[in-house]
Amino acid sequence: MRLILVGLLLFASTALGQQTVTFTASPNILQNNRIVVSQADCTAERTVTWSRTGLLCETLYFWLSSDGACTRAPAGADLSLQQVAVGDTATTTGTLTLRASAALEAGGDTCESQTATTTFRLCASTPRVTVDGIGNQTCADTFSSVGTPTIDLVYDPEPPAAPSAPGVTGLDGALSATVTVPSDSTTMVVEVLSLVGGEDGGVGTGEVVNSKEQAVSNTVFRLDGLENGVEYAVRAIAIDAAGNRSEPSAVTLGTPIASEGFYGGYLGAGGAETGGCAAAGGGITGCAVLASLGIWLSSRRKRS
Amino acid sequence: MSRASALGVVALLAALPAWGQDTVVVEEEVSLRSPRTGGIQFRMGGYKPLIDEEPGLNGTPYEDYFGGESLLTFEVELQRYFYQGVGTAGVGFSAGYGEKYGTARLATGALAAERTALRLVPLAFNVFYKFDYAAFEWGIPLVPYGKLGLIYTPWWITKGAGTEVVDGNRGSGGRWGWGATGGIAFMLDVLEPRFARDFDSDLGVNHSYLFAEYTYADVDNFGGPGLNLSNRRWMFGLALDY
Repeated sequence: MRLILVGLLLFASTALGQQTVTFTASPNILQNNRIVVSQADCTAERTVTWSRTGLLCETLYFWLSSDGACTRAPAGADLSLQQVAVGDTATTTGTLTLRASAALEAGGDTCESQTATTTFRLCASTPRVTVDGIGNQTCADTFSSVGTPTIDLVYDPEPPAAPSAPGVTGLDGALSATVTVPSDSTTMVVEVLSLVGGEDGGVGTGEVVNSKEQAVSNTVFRLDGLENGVEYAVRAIAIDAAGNRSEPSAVTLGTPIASEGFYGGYLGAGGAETGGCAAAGGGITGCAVLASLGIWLSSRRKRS
Repeated sequence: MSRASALGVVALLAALPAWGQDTVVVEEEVSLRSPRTGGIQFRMGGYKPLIDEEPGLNGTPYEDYFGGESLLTFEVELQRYFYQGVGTAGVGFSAGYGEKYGTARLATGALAAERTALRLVPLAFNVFYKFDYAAFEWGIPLVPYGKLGLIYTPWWITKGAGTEVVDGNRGSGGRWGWGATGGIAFMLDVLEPRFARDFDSDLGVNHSYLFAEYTYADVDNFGGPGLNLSNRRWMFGLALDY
């Protein structure tokens, strides 16, 4: 029993001495623990806040690692961001400003010269302190990574590959486009363009008359507001997490075409149902029932 | 009388009152069953509206678009018992949902790339009677029942991404009607009586049933013009008394 108590005391003392740093960032810039920036945003600032607990026996370094390793002090091509000195117990939170351009310059590159995707890891590192059961502190000889979660600053100057031409189907006053998603894409855009005659008698694409942007999980686009019987050109554009836009795909031509649903077929066969609230049998009572149902359904949606 | 005899007489007299005492054992019957106040039914089945039987219709649009198949419909009915004696009587309110998808047509009659659907929300207010006396008193696990109800069925027709509109007419509305239902329920308690008792004591479910019922419903605004959502259908489900 006494041994267990001593063991628990020692374990607790060690835990008390652990240094931890927690990083937080706005979900607008942090996706899957990655901050991805395009070439256009290379010099833009991205802010990450940190908070820490535990004792320090050496300087705590905040830095961007060029090789992904955080178990050392910053050196050479790394970019130092901030330090907390030993004995500084007052500084327990702070803000780090990340710029891809600064991280590249630390390694001798620039936003323009770096043409491939590069990843920098945000590190918080310091030697660990252990405290034994009677209060003696021991400082480790090597640096440890104490920051969580692991956050990467990714400089992505490369746009995704151009997608292949979308498959297009004519709908009533609309077109349906099915796209194939290039790798590295997070969003797809489909644009519908008008066709215009050229002076040479050929036909080219004119203005964008409709467009829609969807996450890559949904590869079928419905583009409404088009005129039946008029031919349109449809093209797809891929966008990656950094916001880089691919070249547009080749266009596919499509023509919206009028169609009849069941209601049209029923009326065409001489059906007498005129629909609408006024046709809710029972007149005012029917309308009231429909309205109540609608209100109830709306309120249910709002709650959830 | 010797002293010994006197003591014997005294002991005898002292014992007499004890002989005169009655030993009464009162056995109170304590029911472990929870009160039975209502029921709930979950059922599903095919709902084929008699749209093509509308007077004046010169075609069979339902058959053409949906192949004459039924809407798969789910319904829930809540019941409240107001009489429990020789059988059980009460009122119930049911609500359900059914839908059927088909393919829209081009002007040429060819199939279009869009889908069209008929969607219904059958609502009904019923009075009912079920003859469960035989099940409770004689152990016959079959419960016949009947219902008579007022029906209101909101409907809407979609094409593509929204409700279909034709010549300014919006494809949605509601139809009134009436319906009569007959059914028979099999009381599941007889299969696992102990489980049924636990179900009652733990959750307050007195009895559970599997049932089949046939409904004859005229849902055409009592003979008015317009969409005829009348139907003759079988439904199957699970019922619980609570």
